[in-house]
Amino acid sequence: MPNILVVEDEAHIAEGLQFNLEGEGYAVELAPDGRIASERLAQAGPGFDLVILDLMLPEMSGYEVVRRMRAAGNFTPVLILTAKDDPADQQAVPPRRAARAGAGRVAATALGRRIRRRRRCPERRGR
Amino acid sequence: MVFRLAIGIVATVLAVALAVGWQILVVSDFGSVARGFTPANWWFLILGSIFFGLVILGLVLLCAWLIREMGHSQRQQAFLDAVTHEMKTPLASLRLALDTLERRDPGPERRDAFLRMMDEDVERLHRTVDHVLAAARAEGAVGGPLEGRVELRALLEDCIAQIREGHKLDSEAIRLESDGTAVVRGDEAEFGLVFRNLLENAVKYSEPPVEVHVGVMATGDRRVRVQIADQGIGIPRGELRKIFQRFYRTGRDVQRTASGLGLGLFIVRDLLRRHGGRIEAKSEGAGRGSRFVVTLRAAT
Repeated sequence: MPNILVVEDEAHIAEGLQFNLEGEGYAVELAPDGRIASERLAQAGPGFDLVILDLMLPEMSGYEVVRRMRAAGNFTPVLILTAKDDPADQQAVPPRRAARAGAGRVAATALGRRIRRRRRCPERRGR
Repeated sequence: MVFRLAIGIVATVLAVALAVGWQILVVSDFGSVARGFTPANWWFLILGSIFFGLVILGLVLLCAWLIREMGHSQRQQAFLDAVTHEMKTPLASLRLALDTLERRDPGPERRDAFLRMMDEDVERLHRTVDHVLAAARAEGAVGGPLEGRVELRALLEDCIAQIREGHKLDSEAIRLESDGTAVVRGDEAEFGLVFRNLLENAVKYSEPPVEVHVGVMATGDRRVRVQIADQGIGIPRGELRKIFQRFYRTGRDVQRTASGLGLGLFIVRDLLRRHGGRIEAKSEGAGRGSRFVVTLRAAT
């Protein structure tokens, strides 16, 4: 069963995502802040098939989480989930590093499509 | 912004250097002074000094103004980010829950959980909108002091009950000490907003177990003092006054470990001023709790 790490500090959204993803047949683990997510990713190595990541997180931002996992050689695909729609923000995480589900678009159907697409074309490993 | 500030500072330094250098040139030119200081020399000296003085003053003012504006626009940006977050998060959560209920049958138990979550999201949106509107009103608020009679004990009990319910606290978490006779002049709804905001902060900035103490006492000069004290994270000395500025958020807020808009205390102070009252923040420092003391006019 594919493993997904959902990094989201808003409990409602995290629970909603978990419920839907489990319904689609994924195993889901939740991380409520950036630090916990980063530690979990360091522990698990390539143990996750996908990371769904909020950007505005307590303790450590989503950017930092991606930066650290990539620096540690972990190239698990990341899907960014954010309510921010500042263009500067959109460029802050280059597309090569993570795909993005835009401004508040957490509709479960769209997310399901995104996840399937994201998992079909994982980014190039290494540089 | 930083570039403009740099220009201001460089120009100020240059002007000071010019003023000093130029006066040294004129005054220390003993050859010309020995031949007699002409009236034209004197005029140059006096007018030049005045002009340079004005240039320096203008530049200093410009710099001060720039620094203030920079702080303001930073806070405004932080506010926009906070509003965006506080509105979009519950909206996204609502949409997700609706979408889920539409697509799947979660069973009666999960359905109830989803409905409860949606209810909380709507409540959160409601609070945010209320705050933004109150701040917008405060901006243009005029009008004389409001003359209704408000019984403080009943009002405080109401507010405490609401906060307790919202945060699922037990009855010991917020204690009220009041002899029940204090009546103040003003608008009950606005005072309600004031006390709910203060209590909300007291709870939000406390680590569990929450321990908030509300005390009411009449002072000699026909005023009533309400004190809201918590055992929470406290306020650094340097921030005791800043927290009442519009859009100001403490370090903890900026890292967003606590939610908020940076509007609550601004609204509180504004509403109290409108009623001829005032508010003061006190804290022994970070980690040692904080106290907010509200002073209101007693009704006669």
